[in-house]
Amino acid sequence: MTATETIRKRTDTFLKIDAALAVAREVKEIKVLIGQVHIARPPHRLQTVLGSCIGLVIFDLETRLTGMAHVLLPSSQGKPRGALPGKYGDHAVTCLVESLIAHGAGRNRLRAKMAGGARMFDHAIDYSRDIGASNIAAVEEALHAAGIPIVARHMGGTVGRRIDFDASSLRMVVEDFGNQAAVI
Amino acid sequence: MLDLKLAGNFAAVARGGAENAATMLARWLRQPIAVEAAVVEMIGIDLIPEEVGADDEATIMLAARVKGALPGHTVAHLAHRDAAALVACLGGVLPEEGSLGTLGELERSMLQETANILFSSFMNGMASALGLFAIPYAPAVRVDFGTAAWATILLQAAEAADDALVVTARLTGPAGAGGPRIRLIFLADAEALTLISGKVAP
Repeated sequence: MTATETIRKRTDTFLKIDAALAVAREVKEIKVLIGQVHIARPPHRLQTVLGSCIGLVIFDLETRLTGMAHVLLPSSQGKPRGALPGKYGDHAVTCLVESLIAHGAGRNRLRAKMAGGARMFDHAIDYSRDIGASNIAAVEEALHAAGIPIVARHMGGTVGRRIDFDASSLRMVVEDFGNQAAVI
Repeated sequence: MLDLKLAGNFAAVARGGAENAATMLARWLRQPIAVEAAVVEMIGIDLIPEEVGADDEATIMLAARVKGALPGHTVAHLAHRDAAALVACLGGVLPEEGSLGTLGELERSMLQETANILFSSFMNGMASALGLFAIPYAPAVRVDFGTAAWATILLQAAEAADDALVVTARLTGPAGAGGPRIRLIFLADAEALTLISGKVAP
């Protein structure tokens, strides 16, 4: 087994539908790493830290079944989905919608909240394009194509964000680096 | 992909780069610096930030794009305690942990110069062992949540594959004297991985 497969065994990165979906009173805080997609029901929380990435949450207004993707790159440009289903914006939206519906969500009840897309470096690491802005545009376009309304955003800027989405209240707490927290 | 045999061969090269960086840093700080470890791994893109020691707290990240024959990024992570020790060696004073956002220009340039020395000696220590050269750009100093800035660092490698070659070297100053502990990282682009595989093959 290669080093990557060994590591992958420690972290179920494709679709972590595990104890989080069990009806458990203990609140789980599920960390969504770069490129990963996770699904959870109340009372659990989905969390991540963002720079130029997008933290995309799609949820069912009625059942509160919730999914979060940590999007690193804008569009797959036709590449097949790999071990990281949330790596590209277009794949992330498709994967989240498929997974939520497969677990009983109603397509017309799906809504989205998104955060991130900061510009973290400007010269030394200068990646010729502002990847944060490209990620925002790609995810918004994919949501529009999927007919999913965006009900809240906390985007752009030049600092990192810590986000925590509560599947019970459907609220996202966004903490900018060095600033007050906001609730969207 | 770098199989375990080649990874072993390249680890010796990585060790040479780390030793070179430790020697140059020792001169810069006028205190002994040891290489605690130099590790070569293929790691999943999603796991890299945490596997190389980034966490979700305030961290000082030094980072630079690398061009030349070993394209990629080189990064150094400094916890507050270690950045303060490093800056103190150079006669500076770091703000308290809770107000790292107010990092002064003098301390910022001390960190930037240290990064210059670290990155060029580390990268050229490895490159010259392979008969190549590496050109680290001017480094950036980033104060933020430790894992936040990694997305931009990972872009090139992530566009090519879902995992990447990562070299991690741990350098430490004299523990008794509260010397700095620095985690120095090289994230290879896919292009560099191909070249390295060819160079270290038996």
